[in-house]
Amino acid sequence: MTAQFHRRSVLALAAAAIAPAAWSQAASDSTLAQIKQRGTLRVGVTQAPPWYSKDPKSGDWASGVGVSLGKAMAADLGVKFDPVEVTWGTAIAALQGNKIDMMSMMDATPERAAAVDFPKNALLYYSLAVLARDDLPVKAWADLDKPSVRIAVPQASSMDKFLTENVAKAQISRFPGNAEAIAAFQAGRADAVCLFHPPLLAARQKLGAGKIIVPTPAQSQASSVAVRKETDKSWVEWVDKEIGKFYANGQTQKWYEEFLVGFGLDPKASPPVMKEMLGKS
Amino acid sequence: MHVWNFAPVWANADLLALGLLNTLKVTGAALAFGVPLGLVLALMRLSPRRLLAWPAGAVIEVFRTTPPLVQLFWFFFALPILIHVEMTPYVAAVLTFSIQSAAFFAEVFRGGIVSVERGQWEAARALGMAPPQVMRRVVLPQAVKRMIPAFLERAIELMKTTTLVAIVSYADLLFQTNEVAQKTFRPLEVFTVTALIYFTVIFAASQLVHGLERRLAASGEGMTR
Amino acid sequence: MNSLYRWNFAPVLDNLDVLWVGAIGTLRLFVICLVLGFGFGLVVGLGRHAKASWIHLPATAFVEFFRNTPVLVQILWFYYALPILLPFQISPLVAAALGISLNSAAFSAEIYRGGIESIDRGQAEAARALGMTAAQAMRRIVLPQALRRMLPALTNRGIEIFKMTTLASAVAYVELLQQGKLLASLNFNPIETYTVIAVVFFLCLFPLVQATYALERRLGRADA
Repeated sequence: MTAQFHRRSVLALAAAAIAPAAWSQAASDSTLAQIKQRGTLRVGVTQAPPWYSKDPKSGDWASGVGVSLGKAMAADLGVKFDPVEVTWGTAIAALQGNKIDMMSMMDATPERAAAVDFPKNALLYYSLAVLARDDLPVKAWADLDKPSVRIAVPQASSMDKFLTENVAKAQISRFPGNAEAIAAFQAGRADAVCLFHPPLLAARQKLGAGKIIVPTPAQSQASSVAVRKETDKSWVEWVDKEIGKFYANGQTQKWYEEFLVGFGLDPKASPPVMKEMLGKS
Repeated sequence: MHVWNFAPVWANADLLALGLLNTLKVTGAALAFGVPLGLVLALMRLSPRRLLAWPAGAVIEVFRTTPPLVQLFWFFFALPILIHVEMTPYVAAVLTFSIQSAAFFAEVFRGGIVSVERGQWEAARALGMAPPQVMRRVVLPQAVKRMIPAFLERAIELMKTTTLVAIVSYADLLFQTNEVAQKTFRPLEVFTVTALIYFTVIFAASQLVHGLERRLAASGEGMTR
Repeated sequence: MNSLYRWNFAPVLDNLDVLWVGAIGTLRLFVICLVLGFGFGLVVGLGRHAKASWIHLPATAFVEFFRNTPVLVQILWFYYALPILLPFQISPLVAAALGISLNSAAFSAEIYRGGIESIDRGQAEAARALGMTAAQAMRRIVLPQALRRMLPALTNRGIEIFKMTTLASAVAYVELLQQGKLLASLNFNPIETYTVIAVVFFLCLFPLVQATYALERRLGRADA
């Protein structure tokens, strides 16, 4: 009886000693300090060209605006770039669970802002588009808002949110990622797939059929970078400065064009990611 | 210390309930088609005519030797392009799992039919019955009784295998779990609840099966192992 | 619209090295789960066979829980839910290995138990009468004979484990199906890609399945 009591009380004391220490450690160390201490910047990635793309031969996350941004930020911090694969739907949980330090290309929606932090500057602006069957009459979003229209979209992405709110009458199929949504369109399981220009351009090229439309009113969304919510704001402020810098000096746009060229696409055929340049095509 | 908070899960219980319903729908439909198809395949495989036995054998081997997820991807993303047919996720899922379970049921049928002693066959033929009559009146009834436990186990396996449809966006329980987890940002609570739901349903089903097996064994008809 | 599909395997064949990387991943996961699943399964199987209820009951609970939950749910739980409770991260490999191994351990535990219990009690008692301890009797007399009887069921389980490795693609582990998904998304050719993946799995498993049938026939004859 006494042996049991001793064992349990020792375990309880040990747990009491470790738990608050571990917890307070996480709360006091800011992300910025943790990154510098660890020597790596854990960047969330998911297969979604032009933002992130994996080179199948080498297995490296080698290209995409998000990848280029992550590498540049790691270089500015003097640490290693460490890509961690997530999905759009699990990126927020990954930030909360301290699996990743940042996730680019997350739009700052109110629901997300309750769970994570966003910098004030925009990362870039992208235009929502659909790749639709040739015989589907589409000019405006209202044309898609019918029960007979089936649309594929990546689950929990901002496209998903936009469609759910504005095209609610359509049959919306949600897939784990961009690739599956496009594959569903390809298989005829959807009349249209909603993403943004570059992957749709690439798909259109390979598929040889379908039309890319930017439905009116044109949705030019600002996208941002999600980071973990914490009391110490040094990390989110540093990210804010960096993306503001890259946007202002045109670097973000350059990375975007670099990727398009590498993917075999013409940068002039795709709307730019800087709002200021949008009116000029 | 993680603070458990199940409130968001209960708030979305209706989504999970819908998912469970869809899981049962797919499982039920796949069983309804898979069992008769399995019988057909088994009879074809046992037939002395090569024209029937060979294709059946090929279908059975291919569907038992390739992973169900690969089959699902193929039926989901590849087949519709090939045959220019539009299929809803439900249809594609039921099609895949009907054929897949039929392949396994076919082997269960075959084992059961073969296990009925030759003596029965010969006695029935001596009585003047034609082979199809022998199969229908003498062999199959006895075979089916012995195969019931194996069937039910296969059916329970099927209920577990159908979770794969979540990956191709059919709104089964696992898919809905992902939806809720991504909406509420509480994967721990949601996934734990879902695991418990699956366990409860499947455990109850397998307990029913065990009860049935015991009753059948007592009456002398079960296949003892 | 009614034209026949023009198959083009060139993009897939150009990327055989990509698929090869996936195949290595599949093999790695398979071996890990085989060893852990059968190894831990033996422990649990012996636990199920034990008389003492403080061993018997947890073993039974383990088997019932991991046999009656879908493997995919377990993998996702280990990947998304467990890290919230633990101070360290769980990689896709670890999550998939945990899910598949624990499930396989539960199934193989029952195979072991069935095999052990099918050996005549008389053998175990005779061994004890000869002065062996229970553990020695198990190790030298019961298990070797039981193993022969369990071999068909164990090889079937092994084949199931190989097929289950594809589930790891759900957490983006780099195995064969995952590489196929990547190629199909970059080349927009799901038909050729998934056909090749299916063929590769079939070519790997068919000889094993045939060997299993041959094994069953040989053992069946030897036992009779």
